[in-house]
Amino acid sequence: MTAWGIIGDGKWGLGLARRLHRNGHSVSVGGLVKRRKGIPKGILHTTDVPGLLQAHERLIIALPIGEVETLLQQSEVSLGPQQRVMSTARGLTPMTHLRSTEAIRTLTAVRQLAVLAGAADARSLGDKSPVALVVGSAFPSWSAEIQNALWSNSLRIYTNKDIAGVELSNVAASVVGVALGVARAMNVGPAAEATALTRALAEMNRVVSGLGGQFGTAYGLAGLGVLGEMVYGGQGPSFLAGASLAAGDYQIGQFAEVRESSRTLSARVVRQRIHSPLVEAVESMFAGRLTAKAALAGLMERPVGSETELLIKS
Amino acid sequence: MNSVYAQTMNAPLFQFNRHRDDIEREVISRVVDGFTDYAGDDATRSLQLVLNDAAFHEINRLEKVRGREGQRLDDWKNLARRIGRMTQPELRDELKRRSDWYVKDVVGHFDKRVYRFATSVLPLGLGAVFNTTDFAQGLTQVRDLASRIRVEGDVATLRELAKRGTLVIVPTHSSNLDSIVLGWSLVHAQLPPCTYGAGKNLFLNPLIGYFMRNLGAYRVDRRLRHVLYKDVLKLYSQVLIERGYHSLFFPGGTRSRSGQIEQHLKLGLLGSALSAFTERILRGDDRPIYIVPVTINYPLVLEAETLIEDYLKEEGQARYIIDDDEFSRLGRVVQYSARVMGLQTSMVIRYGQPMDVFGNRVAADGYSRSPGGSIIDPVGYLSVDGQVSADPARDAEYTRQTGAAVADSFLRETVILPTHFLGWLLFERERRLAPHLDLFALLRTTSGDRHDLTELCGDAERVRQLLVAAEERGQLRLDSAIRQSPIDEVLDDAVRTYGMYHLRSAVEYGDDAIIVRDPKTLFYYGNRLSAWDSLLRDGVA
Repeated sequence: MTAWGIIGDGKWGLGLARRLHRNGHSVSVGGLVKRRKGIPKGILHTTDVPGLLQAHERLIIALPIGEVETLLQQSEVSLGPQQRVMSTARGLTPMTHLRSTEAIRTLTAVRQLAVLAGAADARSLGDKSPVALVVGSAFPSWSAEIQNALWSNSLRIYTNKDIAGVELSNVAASVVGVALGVARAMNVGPAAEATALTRALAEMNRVVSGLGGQFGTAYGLAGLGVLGEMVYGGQGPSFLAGASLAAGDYQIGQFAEVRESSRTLSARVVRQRIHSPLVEAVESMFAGRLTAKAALAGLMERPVGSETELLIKS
Repeated sequence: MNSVYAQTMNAPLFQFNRHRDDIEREVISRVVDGFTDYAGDDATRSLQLVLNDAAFHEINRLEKVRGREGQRLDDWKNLARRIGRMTQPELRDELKRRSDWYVKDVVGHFDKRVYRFATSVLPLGLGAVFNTTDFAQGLTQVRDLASRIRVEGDVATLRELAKRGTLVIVPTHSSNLDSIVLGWSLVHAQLPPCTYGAGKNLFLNPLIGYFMRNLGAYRVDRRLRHVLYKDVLKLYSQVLIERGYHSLFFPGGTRSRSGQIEQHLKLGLLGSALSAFTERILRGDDRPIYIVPVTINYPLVLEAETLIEDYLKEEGQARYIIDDDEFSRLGRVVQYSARVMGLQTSMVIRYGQPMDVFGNRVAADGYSRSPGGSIIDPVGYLSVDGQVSADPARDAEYTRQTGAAVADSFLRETVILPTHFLGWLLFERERRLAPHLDLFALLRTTSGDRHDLTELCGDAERVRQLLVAAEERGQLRLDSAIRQSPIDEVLDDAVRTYGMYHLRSAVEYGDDAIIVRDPKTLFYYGNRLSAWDSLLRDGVA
């Protein structure tokens, strides 16, 4: 049995706390609200977040991406070399457009970092539905430790050394997934949807490898896995945001996390000159510069090249 | 006794000869134990594999060489035939014998008298090398030399760190003169002497070989690629660091062929520094190890022509051993040195900010700092639940990250000189003029191209502004001439510098223009700026 500290008492934080506790680990969860309801028995809850960070060698940061930097910039928070951190935050930071583990690396002395990603939503993590997730970490012993701590007959944990690739696949999937939602809502038909899915995958690979991940990681759970969940389930915030854009009733403030991912990712791909028509089209739709119909027309009118060449060339 | 000698005579290297046998024994026993650290049959198999691998490579190599070295061929052939029938103790003995041979081939030597001689005469000697015309002027030349080689960076802090812990100096590598000028800079900065690995071919020059042999250099035979030799070499360098010998190695591996600043570093020796740190901690020795990146910035590179030819010929695949370059021709070295003395622009050796073996910044007090500036104890990186543990996969990733930190430091601490600036500018303009040509076609066709001086100065001024902004952001360093002089003087300095040494001047003046004469040389010097290509391209009209 080992001791784990989890920052964030939302669905992800509590879902992971339950899984760890069930596997016999001692778990403390930190959040802002005192006497928070719904804390499972046996799990310690505290509002002393700095104290909790100080006291644990194994940490999980289960906060929305927008709060990660804020937490670490607090003067009383200091993470040290002996600590190992896993993040579940999806997206890029609002101001600096960094991946969550990049932000942690930039602000703290922690080196052994990991990220948890995949198709499971917070609800399926909390109950006993069978799901699989991937842990990205360049440190095999840390990812193995997470794998062993969380693994059960209803949760499979795969490992991947390409931490940047896993994080980027996850954010890219949530953005290109909007385009798939648009396609479904516009009733383009299965063949056109399949084309959109194929091109989305090609684009994800370009974005991931262009921003420092490895080519191919997007085919894993954090990329294709996430897209598959949207397409099969017809659900998920990205997919629903796409439907809303297609219907023309999207309003500012809706699907905030997806909207933010789109804004930050498109800023980063534009800055690094990565060819990414879907990401840019989604951002234009969100920003109100393009209707769904015009976006589809624009994508169809673009010059067409070789399938494999476009797969690798930025 | 001169003052430098007095300042540095406490350096560990002065005790080297007394401990040499002990060091050899430790390396051999750790090599042998490393391959036998398995139970039963696995140990036998591991010993067989390593000996087999060594025999295979040695037989292949020795079949092609003649002379004394070739006589060892039969011995290896004989071993190859016997390996399968040998018992575990026999295999161990054999491995011990072979390791002993390699260690003795590698191991260095340090002679106090040679060091004392070198530190009092080297500045003069180097002065002589750098200025053959008036050697008799003696002391004047020491001053002249100091004006031709500028040592920058916080060397006072490094002197303090050398007392607290062990320095591992990691410079950029452009020329075989690097170890000589760097050695000079250590003496000049009153830093302790370092041990370092040098290619066996460099020992062929009798004069330089004599000094290297007696000043702590150890021999690296780059022709030997088998596991046993690599292991001996790695452990030798590791044991030296563990025992507190300040060390130096070039993490780029070989001289940069293209002229670019090295970004793909060889991690093996950086890994030795981390392994040495871990080993020390496990033994209860908490003296720190400091990695010190250094950039060596030449306005002219002795071997520029050979290096760039080699780069182009191999299309990036390094010919590891060049033994017929300018360094081996004494005339060229003398000519080069004399010309360098006449230059306006100094060579700059810049000591970067020290870091720990994990790539964290180390402050003047000798303690590691987190990105936020608080003191951290790097031992934490090695511990799980308070226990320090060895974990090769974890350490490989730490080493990769340290390598990235060193590569970043190389960029930040590179000093851009006028020859780099003009080389980049002219080559970029050539690229613009013929965007359809690939590199090789460009290099073949641009000789004779004319660049109007007014236009060139306009581009140069814009690129300079971008460089100044990059320097303010801490991305690189500029020679003060580039920062301050009128732009036509910066270009003029570069044109004259190129003309002073290279057999064929890279450029020459025409009517109100600069004419390209040797695009390869321009490409080579300009490559020093290639890391900032996308940033600087906006400055070219």
